[in-house]
Amino acid sequence: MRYKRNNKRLDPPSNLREVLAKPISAQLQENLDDLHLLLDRCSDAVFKEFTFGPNRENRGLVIFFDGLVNKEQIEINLLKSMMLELNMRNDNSYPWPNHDIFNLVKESIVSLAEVKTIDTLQDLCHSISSGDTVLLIDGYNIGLVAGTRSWQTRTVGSSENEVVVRGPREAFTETLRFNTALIRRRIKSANLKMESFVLGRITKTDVVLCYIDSIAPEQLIAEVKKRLEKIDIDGILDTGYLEEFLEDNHNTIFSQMEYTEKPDRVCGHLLEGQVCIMVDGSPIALIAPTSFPRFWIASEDYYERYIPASLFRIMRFVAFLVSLMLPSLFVAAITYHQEMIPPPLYLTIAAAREAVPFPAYIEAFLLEATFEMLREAGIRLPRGIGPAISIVGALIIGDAAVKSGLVSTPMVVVVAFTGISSFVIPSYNAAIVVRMARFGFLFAAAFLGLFGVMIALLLMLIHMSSLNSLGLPYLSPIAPFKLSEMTDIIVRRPWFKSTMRPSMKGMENEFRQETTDAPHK
Amino acid sequence: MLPTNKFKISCLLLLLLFSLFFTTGCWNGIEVNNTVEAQGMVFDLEDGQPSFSVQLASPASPDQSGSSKTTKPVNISQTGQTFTEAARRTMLSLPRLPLWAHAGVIIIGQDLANQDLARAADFLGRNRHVRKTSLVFISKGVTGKECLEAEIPMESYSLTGLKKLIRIQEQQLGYYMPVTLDEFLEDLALPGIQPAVPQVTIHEIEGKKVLRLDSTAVFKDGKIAGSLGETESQGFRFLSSKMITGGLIIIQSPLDKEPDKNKLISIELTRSQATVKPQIEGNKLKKMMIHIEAEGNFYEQTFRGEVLNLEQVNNINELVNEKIKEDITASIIKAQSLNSDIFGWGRNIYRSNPELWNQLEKDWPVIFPGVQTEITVNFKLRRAYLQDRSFEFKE
Repeated sequence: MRYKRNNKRLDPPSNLREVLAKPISAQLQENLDDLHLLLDRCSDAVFKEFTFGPNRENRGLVIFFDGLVNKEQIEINLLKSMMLELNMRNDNSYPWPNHDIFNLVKESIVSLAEVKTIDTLQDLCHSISSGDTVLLIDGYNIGLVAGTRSWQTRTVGSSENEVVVRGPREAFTETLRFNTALIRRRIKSANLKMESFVLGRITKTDVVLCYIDSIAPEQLIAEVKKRLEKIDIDGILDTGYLEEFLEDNHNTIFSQMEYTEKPDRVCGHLLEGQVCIMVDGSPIALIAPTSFPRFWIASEDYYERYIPASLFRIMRFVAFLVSLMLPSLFVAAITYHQEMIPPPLYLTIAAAREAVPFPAYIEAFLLEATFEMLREAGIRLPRGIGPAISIVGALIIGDAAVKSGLVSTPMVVVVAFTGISSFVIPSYNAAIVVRMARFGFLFAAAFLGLFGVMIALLLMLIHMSSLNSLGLPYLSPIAPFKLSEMTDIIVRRPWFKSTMRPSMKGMENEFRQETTDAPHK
Repeated sequence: MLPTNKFKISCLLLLLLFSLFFTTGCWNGIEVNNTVEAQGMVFDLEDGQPSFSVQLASPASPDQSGSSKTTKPVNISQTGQTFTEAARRTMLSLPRLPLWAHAGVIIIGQDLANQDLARAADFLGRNRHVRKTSLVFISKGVTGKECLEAEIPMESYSLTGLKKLIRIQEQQLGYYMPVTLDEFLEDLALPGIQPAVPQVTIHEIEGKKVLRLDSTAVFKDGKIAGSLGETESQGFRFLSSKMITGGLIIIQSPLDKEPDKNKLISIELTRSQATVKPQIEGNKLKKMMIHIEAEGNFYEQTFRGEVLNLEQVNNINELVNEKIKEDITASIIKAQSLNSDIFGWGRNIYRSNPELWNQLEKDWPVIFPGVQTEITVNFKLRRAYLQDRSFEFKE
């Protein structure tokens, strides 16, 4: 269904809109009325009216949302200072009431670190929604914002989805400030920039674009900023929303950005000139641009010594190919190219398949689909039922299906091996691509044999080479080929040989280090 | 909601894709359940008619899981006007498509080989299902079909066993060389060389018919001209243009001047490479220069006395040289008496002097039996395994 674009539907009702646009009035009562209208039915909004001053004739109003603020701070640093300490200063140095009370309060009464002034009701609402406290004083058409943000959060824990044996374990949490701090702690440079955006018409979500000024290409930063500023949606709940807004190609199964929950990995990418985008409320950081070959690089490769790291990478590449093509190659071989299988192996396969009633590709498809369902079920399953799925998976699929002659053992082995291989791929979004493409390959193999597999592979490569991620060709450095960067794709060169950053269009600061010798030389 | 054109098209495409599910696939795709693996093929002549036999491996049923070793081969045999027809006539009694490409062994019956290979050569060379790396054998004293029915110990399929057998034999004993179909057809087709193919025969052990390798068939003009015995086959193997590895050489003791049947030394051949060059003077072939570079290990001695010292090792080398020379000479004499250039000397001459070969080619059958040879052998004893001296008896 298509609706005509209706701005009225997206915005608050018109009378509220008018109220929101109003500046803060000098009359406290008028502000109070407006705010009561705005925050009608907001049971967590707290209004605290009080009087202060030598004769208790000045009126003040404190507004905040319960649960987002540190109440103790408000009580001690704001209310107590205003209601008690200000009254005690009844001496000649304060020519009350001719003095500018607002500035007096701002500069010498409120003892909080973050203090600023605002003058519209819209800003006021945004401030209190973010966990700040706003102080209004009768007679002044400005409000004082006191930084009192404090809410219940998850503490920084170890990464659950990106487990490493060697290397930092910290992971991002849902609080943006903690996350930026985790990065800032690792890169102690003023060049580490964190540009802030507020996105989402209703959610007003804080979004941070993070990069290293001297390394990341300027045009890349400009492009990302331009795209971010164009976003006009009611809410941003996760970085996943932004990925779809920022990517160049939408009609593809290939994801063109990396994501991670590990600050050390983000820092590694920042040092290579990429940018990172974080959203308040999401523990996942987006990294862009990226290219497909980087998806089989794990952060641990850079922490492990270069020889094992290189071998692991080669193994991962093999696993990638296996998980993409093994079922289709197997089906193609046993349906069209029997002569390619060594005779004893063929005999074993034939013996196992003797009683199976389905064609090989149907059998492969059934098993693959079952495996995908088991996997999907495993993710969503409540913890308590977890073991049940493995029993069902192992017993029913693995054993009973074979014994009853519905599937053959070689096919189970192939599918299981494929499944294991797909878990070897370090990035989940690349693994999803492989899972989807695998079925395409399977169909190609079922109808055209190895010829079909090759066609599918070529189509995939052609499609991949037509993609780009924020200007970076999707297959770089394989296509366009760059020999010098191959040493960081299939294998990893040792750190002391790693003088250049991966090249990117517009990058000026290409050198990581000067020397190319190990320090002992 | 109005379906747009694009929507219609994409729906149609999806439907088409989905319907592919139910098609049976491409025309030449075949399910494993509808195939049977051919282990080997046999080409015979039966009363002058082409007869084709095939050994099929019947897949074990799943409840017999793992123990497929006990399955018996299924042998099917048919005659026809041509070999293609005979092969296709096997479908009269066979519900599955045999995968000819898995047949690793081809046996040509002696009747066919004695008559004319032209009846089968084209089938073997042209058919895309026949694997060109299959090994070729000629039956000796029996028909090919009889070979099919004979057994090979330890192996469920005799023809698969034959393939393993000849390889192990070459490595351990070094009498017969396996010949692939590719090499066989090439030798048949090219001028200046004739094929020589190992032969199989049947002998009985405890009432069981068992396949056994026996001599090498020598071809001339697409027919069997005769065969090489064990010694001659060994000599023929030394003259192979490929490097050969493995084999056994028995020589006399170097300590005695008189030959003694009880005083022998076994030498294990580790490698040997022959270089054959024609010596041409003016515009005439003078002789074939044959040089063998070989290495081997000391394996056994059957007498008392120290032979593993510098002087005796040189003597041993000399004796091995003589032995290899003898074997080679025997094979050359035999080939020349059969007038079949199994060594490919004609091709050798063509490679070093094409013009001379053009003159000789016509008369080669006349010239070949009289070609002189000069054989030099350079054998080197390398290792002596666990004892560096001869076995010492206490005095």
